[in-house]
Amino acid sequence: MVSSPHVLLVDPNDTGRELLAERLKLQGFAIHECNDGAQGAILALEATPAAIIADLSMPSISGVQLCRLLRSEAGTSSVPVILRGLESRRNHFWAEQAGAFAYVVKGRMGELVRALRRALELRSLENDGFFVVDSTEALDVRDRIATHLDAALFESVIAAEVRQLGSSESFDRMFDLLSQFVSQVTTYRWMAVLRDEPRRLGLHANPLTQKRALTEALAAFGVSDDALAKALVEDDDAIVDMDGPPAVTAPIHFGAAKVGTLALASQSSSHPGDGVLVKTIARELGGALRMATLVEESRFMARIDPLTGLLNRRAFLEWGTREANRSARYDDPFCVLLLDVDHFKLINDRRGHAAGDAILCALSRVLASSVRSCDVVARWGGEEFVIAVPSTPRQGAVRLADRIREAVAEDDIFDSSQNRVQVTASFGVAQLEGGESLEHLVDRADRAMYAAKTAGRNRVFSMNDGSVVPFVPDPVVSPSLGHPSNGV
Amino acid sequence: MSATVLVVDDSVLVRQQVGRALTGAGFTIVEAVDGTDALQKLAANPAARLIVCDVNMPGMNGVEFLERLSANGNTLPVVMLTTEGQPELIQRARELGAKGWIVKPFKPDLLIGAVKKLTAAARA
Repeated sequence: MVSSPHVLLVDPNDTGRELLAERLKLQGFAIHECNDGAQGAILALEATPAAIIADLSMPSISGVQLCRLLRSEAGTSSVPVILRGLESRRNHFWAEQAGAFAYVVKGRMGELVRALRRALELRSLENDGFFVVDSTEALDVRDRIATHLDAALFESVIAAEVRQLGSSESFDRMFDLLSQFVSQVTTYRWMAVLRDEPRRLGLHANPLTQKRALTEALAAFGVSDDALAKALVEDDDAIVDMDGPPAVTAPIHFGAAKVGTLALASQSSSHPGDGVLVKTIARELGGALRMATLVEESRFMARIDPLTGLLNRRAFLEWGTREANRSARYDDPFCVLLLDVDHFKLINDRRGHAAGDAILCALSRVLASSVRSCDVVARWGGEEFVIAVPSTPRQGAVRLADRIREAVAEDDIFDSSQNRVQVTASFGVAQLEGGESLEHLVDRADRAMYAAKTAGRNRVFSMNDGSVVPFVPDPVVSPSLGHPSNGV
Repeated sequence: MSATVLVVDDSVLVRQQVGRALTGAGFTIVEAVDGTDALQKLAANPAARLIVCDVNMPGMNGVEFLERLSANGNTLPVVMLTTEGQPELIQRARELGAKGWIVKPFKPDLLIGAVKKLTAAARA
């Protein structure tokens, strides 16, 4: 029950062991001997030794297994174990993995005695008379080893499952799969992952208790709800009972960098293993989280025009084709506006490419702020932009194009040297016809735009039944008539 | 001479079981149902020489109780008696000055042995 100062020597080779025991006794150590690994474990659990010397290779259980078993048992977890064996880098490695205090090559008596002295010194520093009694578990060491191996298997299975999440291609998908997996392993009130960059919270809880789970998760991570992007996985089968111990959290690392945090709120204190589970998952989740984030980023980058931040041509065609098909199915009018900056080549030649780029950026901001939220603006290429206008017939799209034309002409657009530049654009508008592809629709808008250029630029033309027609504003009385704007 | 032992456990069965074992060995028992109750019982029973304490209890649990005792400069030996066996918890109790950790269900002889040894050491 209480530690006694003896050293337990476990070695199946009787002659070698007896000889070693004699030599150690001469050095003043109290030695208990044992010729079998499993028996050694029983002895150590019955009467905690001050230190253990064990052979690495033994018939019933190996020195590594013995060491791991004793590390995992409360009563012997701090007893230093010295393993002995042949000189081999592999043996050193496994001894260290098993938590051995030292690995000493057989035959090096001086080294063994020094290691044993160090071990006993350390032990006496720690020894405050504290004792642990656990008479509940049968002293059947084979059962204990089985339990211990189950725990090791459990850990490696979790590690393997979590690593597989690396192929999930987005944070939300990864979190969804993670919650499916973890909810099979344990029952919890909620589980959450906070990704640091870009910040996003994944939360898995029952919809009935989601609000409270969110509050608890934010508190556990120490973050506020302001502008926090979230992926909320609702699960009707999840636990509704919100009473339980506070959440266990563990940082998620990728290499040396922290990339996020995992939190799990157990259902009750009857799951003491949840702490270990959370740590195990967090340890393996770093790679998967980083991978999913990289895939997300590259997907995003592949859709965005790097200069203007608008969708690129490919992304526009992808989105627009879906949208055009939908409109055709519901017999909903669908138009595109194609616009080209007037005399852009001149601007580039006179002011340089940096100025040209600055103007394209400024123009894209004017476009994005002039359209409705359901419209989509994209850079078609060069100085050409395309705008998709769903649920709007040609006449409406033409009026919208003219408003944007005015906005562009009137807006203060500056080049890279902050010089104000007068920028205008020519617009072509076309409405989707039955059976027409999006590319063909853009082609027709391009023909109308070309006509606008030919007619003198800074104007809107549209395709009407196969012919190109100019836009003529409605003869409305401007409210500003008689109040010239230059007088303001 | 009959030393007084404070037994802290939310389960009446465990209190009875521990009480029977220790009264049989000549100790006097004071019972408490959780950490808060235990602090009050300690104040009311200055003769107490040792505490046997559960870990999982509603209200103030055993570890929180140890934290309070340690903050108050307690010198009484405390033995934890619990179903828990996690090394982290045991280590925490040890840091907080607990003298031992016994896993339930326990063998009465072992508990009596530990209590006798600790009360004798405290008297010496």
